[in-house]
Amino acid sequence: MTYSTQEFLRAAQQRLGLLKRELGKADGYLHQHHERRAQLATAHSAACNDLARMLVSEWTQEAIDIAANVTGFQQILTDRPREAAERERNELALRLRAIENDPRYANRELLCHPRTGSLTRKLAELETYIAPFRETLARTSHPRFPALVTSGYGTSEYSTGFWRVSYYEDWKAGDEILEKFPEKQFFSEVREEVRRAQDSIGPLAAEAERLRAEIKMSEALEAEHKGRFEALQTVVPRHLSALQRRVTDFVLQVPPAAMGPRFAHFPALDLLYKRAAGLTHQTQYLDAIIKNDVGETRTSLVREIQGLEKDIQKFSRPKKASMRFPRDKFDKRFGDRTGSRYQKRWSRFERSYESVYQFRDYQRASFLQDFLWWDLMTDGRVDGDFVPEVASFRRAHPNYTYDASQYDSGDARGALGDLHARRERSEDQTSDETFVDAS
Amino acid sequence: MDERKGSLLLATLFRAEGLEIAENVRFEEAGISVTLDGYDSKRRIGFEFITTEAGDREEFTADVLVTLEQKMRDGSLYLFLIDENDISSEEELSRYASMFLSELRRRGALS
Repeated sequence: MTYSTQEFLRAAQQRLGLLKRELGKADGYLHQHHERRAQLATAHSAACNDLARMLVSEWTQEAIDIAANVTGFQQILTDRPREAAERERNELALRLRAIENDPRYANRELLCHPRTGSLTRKLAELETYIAPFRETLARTSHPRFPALVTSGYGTSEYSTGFWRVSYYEDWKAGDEILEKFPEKQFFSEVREEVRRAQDSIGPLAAEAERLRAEIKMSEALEAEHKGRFEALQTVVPRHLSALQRRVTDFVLQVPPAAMGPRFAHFPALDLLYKRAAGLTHQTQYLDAIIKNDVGETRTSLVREIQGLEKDIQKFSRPKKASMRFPRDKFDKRFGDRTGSRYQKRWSRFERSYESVYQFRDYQRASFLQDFLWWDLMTDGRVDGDFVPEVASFRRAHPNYTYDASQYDSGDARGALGDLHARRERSEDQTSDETFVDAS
Repeated sequence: MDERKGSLLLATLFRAEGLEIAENVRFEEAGISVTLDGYDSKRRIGFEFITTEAGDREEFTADVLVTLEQKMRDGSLYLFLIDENDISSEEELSRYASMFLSELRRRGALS
C-alpha cells in the first residue's frame, strides 16, 4: 500500500502544526526557566549575605576570632584585617591633611573660580592676546603655504623657473593667500606678519598652557580630596564587607563534607550554610534539566520542522503530483498524530524540574554522611546521571543508596522557622547589604 | 592625465600662438640628447610632458634638466616642463600653459 502526494502533503501539514505547537511549549519552558533562574539568583544572593553576616557579625577582633575558629579559615587571623583597616585610615588621613595644606587646594576658589579666580582671569586675558595671532595663522592655512615659505616665494631667494608648472602653482597659491589679507599688497608682507604672529604666539601659548596645568592640578586635588574623604568615612564597612565576602567564599569553596560538620553545633549558621549551598546546586540542576530535556528536544523539533517545510515545498510542485509514498516510511514519519511522544517527554521533564525547583527543605541536608543534593531534592526518584556532578558522585560512591528517612529533621525545620522569623524582623536592616557571590 | 592627451593639448595651444610645433623632435646640444614632445626649432620654443610611463625620467635626468634650465635662464631656449604629478586636469594644464605663453610674450620671446 502507498500514499499519494496529496495525502503526504496533508499529513505533513498536520505534523508541522503539531511540531510548531510543541516548539512553542519548549520556548515557554525556556522562558519560565529564565525567570525562575533570576528568582533563584536573588534568593542565592540573599542567602550568601545572611551567611556572610552570620559568619563575621561585627568589626571586632572577637568576631574575627570566632569566624576563624568556626570555619577553620586561619588566614584571616594572620592577615590582621583590623590593622590593615587602621593602616588605610591613617594613610587616608595623612594624605587628606597634606592636600588641605596645599595652597593649590586651600586657595582653589580664589585661584580657579570660573569667573573670579585669579588663574582663570589671567588665562582669559591671555587668550584675548593670543586670539588675533591665531586668526592670522588661520588665514594662512593653505596646503601650499609651507612650501611657499620654504622656497622663498615673494623674496629674491625664490628660484623656481617660469618654465616649470610649480612656478604657476606657487603663483596661484600665493594669490589665494594674499586675498585673505586685503590690507596687504605683496606676499612678502604676509610672510612678515605670519613670522611676527609665530614669534609672539609661542611664549603666550606656553604661559596659557602653564596656567591651564595649574588649574587642572587644583581640580585634580579637589577630586582626590573628595574621593579620599569618602573612603575615610567608609573604612570599616568596606573592610567588614570584604572580610565577610572572603570568609563566605572560603566556606562555600571548601567541600561540604569538610565544612558542613564544623557548623553542626551552630544551628542557625548551619541552616544559612545549607541554604546558600543548596541554592547553588538547585540552579545548576535546573540548568542541566533544561539542557537535557528541553534544549535537546527543541533542537530536534527545529530540525524536523525545517525538513518538513522543505519537503512540503518540494512535493507541492506539479511535477511531483503523481508520486507515491510507501506506507512503512509514511507511518514512521507521521504515525504520532497526537504528539503523545512529546506529551510523555514534557510530563517527565515537568516532574523532575518541578521537584528540584519547588525544593525548599535545605535544612534536611546532612554532611555527616555521603550526601547528594540531587537525591534530596528529587527524593531519589529521578535518574540524574545527565548531571555531571551526579554522575561523578555515583562513580565515586558505588555503594551509596539514597534513604529518605535519614534526612528527616523536625528540629532543623523548627530552627529554619526561627531563622525566617528573624530574617523578616531584620529585613529592613539587611536589604542593602553587600551581595556575596559564591558561584 | 596621460602624455598623449597632454601633448596634444599643448601642441594645439602652442600652435594657436603661431608656433610651428613638430612632435617628437630630437634635441642634441651641449652634450645632451633627448626627444622633446613638441618643439619649434626655429623659435627654440617647445614643451616636454614628463611621465614615468613613457620612460621620460630616465631620459630627463637631473643633469639633463640642469643643462636645459641653464639655457632657459640665458634666454636661448624655452621649454615648458610639465611633471605628470603636478597636473590633475586638462583645465589646469591649459591654464598653466597659457600663463607660460603669456610670460614668453612679456619677455619678448614670442611676439
